[in-house]
Amino acid sequence: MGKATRVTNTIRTLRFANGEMTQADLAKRIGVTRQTVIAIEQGRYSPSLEVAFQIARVFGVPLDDVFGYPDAHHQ
Amino acid sequence: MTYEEKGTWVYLVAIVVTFGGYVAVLLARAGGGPVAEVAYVAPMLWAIGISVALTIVGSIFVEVVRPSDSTTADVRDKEISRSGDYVTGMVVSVGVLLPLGLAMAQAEHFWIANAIYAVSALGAVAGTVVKLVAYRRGL
Repeated sequence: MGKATRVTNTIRTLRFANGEMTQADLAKRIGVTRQTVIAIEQGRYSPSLEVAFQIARVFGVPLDDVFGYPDAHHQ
Repeated sequence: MTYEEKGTWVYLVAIVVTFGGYVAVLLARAGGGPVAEVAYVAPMLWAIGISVALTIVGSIFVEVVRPSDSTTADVRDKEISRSGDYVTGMVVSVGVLLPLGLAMAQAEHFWIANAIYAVSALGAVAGTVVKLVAYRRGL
């Protein structure tokens, strides 16, 4: 399956760095389904700004530490 | 698979099965003769009724067999739903020109009613497929 967004993320890494938080736990804390967390992690869904901030808040890091948007010239 | 995605699959199957069944009944009743002379009202009403019932019963059955974590639509479900509904609206709004043209040409009620049903089914299928592709490949 191809990626639907250029937005990258470090959610998987952050989950493991935060006590191996499961996708289900993260989903519950930000009020979405586990499948949505999976889709975000895999780059198949670009979350809304609000959900992005919620994810960053769960991990206690700035938004930039969770999401990135690489320059097209460096792809 | 989320509750909403399962429901979308069930809806697609219900639409395809009932519309296909309806066409099969019409063709069988026509028996090689002119299809426009077949009594279509009862089969069409049955097909529409069964598609509604099948969607409800099918969704319940799927949830019993494979329960979802949550039955509430989240932000992604809603975005996917909107994109599918937009496509359904586009297909129906263009497709409605067919029954409109038939009515203006004073075609038989059979063709007008069936054109409306076919366009509705096509719109539903198109929107549902868009939703399922969005669920699988992303928005």
